Amino acid sequence: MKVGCWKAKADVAGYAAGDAITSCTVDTETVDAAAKFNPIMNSYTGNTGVLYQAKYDTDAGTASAGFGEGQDQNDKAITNAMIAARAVAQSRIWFAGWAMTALEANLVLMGDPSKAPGTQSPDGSYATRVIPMA
Amino acid sequence: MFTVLGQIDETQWAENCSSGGNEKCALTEDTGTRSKTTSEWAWNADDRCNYTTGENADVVSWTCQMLGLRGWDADADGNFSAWGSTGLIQSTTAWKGTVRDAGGSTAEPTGMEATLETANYEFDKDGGDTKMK
Repeated sequence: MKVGCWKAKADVAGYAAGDAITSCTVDTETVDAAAKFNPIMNSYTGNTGVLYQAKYDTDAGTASAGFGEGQDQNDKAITNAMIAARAVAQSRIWFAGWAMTALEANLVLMGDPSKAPGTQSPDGSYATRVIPMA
Repeated sequence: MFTVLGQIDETQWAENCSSGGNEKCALTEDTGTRSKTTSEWAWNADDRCNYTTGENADVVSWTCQMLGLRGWDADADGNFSAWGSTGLIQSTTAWKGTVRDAGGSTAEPTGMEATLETANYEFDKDGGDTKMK
């Protein structure tokens, strides 16, 4: 982020027009004699403190660890869309299982061609299969 | 039974197949050749009873595909040689998909299992926060 900023000075009262910089990058980690700061966005307390807004923002982002963003499966927040997507997928998987069971059962009733006489491993059931009439 | 395909793949069995005034997918008797001694029955051409909606430039074609339980390939003698790629069981299997690393492999999940994984999260009924991920 490019902002207007000032050279860092321990002596706050000693700032002069020549200390202003019209374009610089906000340091998000440290403030020292070489760093620049913006008097509105940052809060510089001298050599012992790092109480400036960019650092607060960085710390807050780290602390949130993705909580609340709700963008994908890695987020710690569970959105309504995620609840619906998971429920739909799980229901369809269950349904597919039931359908598979029913279809496989019908295949046995109708006669499994893989077990028909003439194949390598017939079990004899195909030739004697009786199709039940409803 | 083939209408179950509509629950799995609507591109193969559209919502209004065999309903209303649309063509029916069914084994039907050919009334043109019917007589006291002849009765011919047949499936729809290409095993489909497709229909359209709309008019002129807005016509939309819908597919109604009849599938058997489990298609298979025959050998030179007409006996079973291997399972084919089409059939209700094959379609259902593909639609359901497989979980990640199924059978000890390193394969990506497929079908609905892939959808479920994408939406994955777990609730902790005791209120803990370790399963929210």
